[in-house]
Amino acid sequence: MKKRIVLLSGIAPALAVAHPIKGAGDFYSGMLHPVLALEQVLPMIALGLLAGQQERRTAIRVLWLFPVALITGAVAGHGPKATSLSMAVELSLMVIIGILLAISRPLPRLLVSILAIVAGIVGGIPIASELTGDVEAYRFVVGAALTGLVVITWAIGLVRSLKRPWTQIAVRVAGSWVAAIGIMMLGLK
Amino acid sequence: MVCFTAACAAESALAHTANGTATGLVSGLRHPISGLDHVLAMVAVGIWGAQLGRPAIWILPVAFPLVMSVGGMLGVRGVHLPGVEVGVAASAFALGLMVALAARPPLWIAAALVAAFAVFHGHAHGAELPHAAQPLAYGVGFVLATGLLHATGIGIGVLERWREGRRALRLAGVAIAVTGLYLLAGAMSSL
Repeated sequence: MKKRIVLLSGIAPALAVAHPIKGAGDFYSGMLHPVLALEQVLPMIALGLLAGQQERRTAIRVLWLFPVALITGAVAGHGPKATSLSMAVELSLMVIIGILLAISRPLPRLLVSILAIVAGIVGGIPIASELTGDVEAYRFVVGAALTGLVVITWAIGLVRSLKRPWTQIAVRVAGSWVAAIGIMMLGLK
Repeated sequence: MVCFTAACAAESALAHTANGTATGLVSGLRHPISGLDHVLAMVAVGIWGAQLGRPAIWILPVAFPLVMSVGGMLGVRGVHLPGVEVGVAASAFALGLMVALAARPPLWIAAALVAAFAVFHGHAHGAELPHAAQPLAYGVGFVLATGLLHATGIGIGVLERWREGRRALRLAGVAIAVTGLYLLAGAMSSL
């Protein structure tokens, strides 16, 4: 029995990876797309945390602006130039959002909205390159947008549920980490 | 034994299918903890922050990765920074000394000292970045490891609440400074 458990634990990770690649369907592949790439999921989480630090109306605005912008990016952003540009903008966003997270101050609603729109659009552009062949574009894009909504909702909820002072500090430290990663990766670009 | 080997093999296969993301992350996580000088300096930053109290306890761990990334960027770009290893070893000595003396300089001086050393640590990590299987995952790994070492130092710094604990922290500072001095001598001799 013990041997079976060990063997199964070895096989399980391979299955977990294989599952989203084949047989998951376009909707579920779309859902997985944003969370399989660090460069996409990190700015998304950082944006959600930043929105969580802001007042309620600003957070709610980010909640719907981001998925809508992501769909726009996925529909409009075709071509290798757009993909390359989106990567550079995504890294710059990591730096900006990370620093704003570390500062942890109330921000103008317009600024946070612009960040959400830009993050959504550049997050959607890599999705556009996946929409080839027999992929049902609307299922894939809606799946990706739903993941965006879930991640942003989770991050906002996380920050707003943190009551102890040290947990708020942990979010600020996490912001400095995101900014640091962004700065170094920009160096590589 | 066979089953265990099979389990390990599957994991490495997973790292491969994930386009090196797992490999990059693990390499990045390992880099800061693979060198004693890095570990001692990072833990000392956390302990010193705890000794200094608020707001230093969180300003130092926030300032460090931000400035470290600038050093990392120089390393990534291949910009030569003289005496990187000496700088890293000197950081273990100097920060250990600050902990040993329970030094309480103005916050900006503490932040500037930590930030100055962060450039050397960042350069040492960043120079490895272009060779990493997945640079972004490597970057995430080493920033995460650095932050967790700070957190370890802050955790140890909880001892600051008790009189005997404060003495223990200062003794730990002496140990870090002495080890740092030994590493510094080694780094200087290899120049």
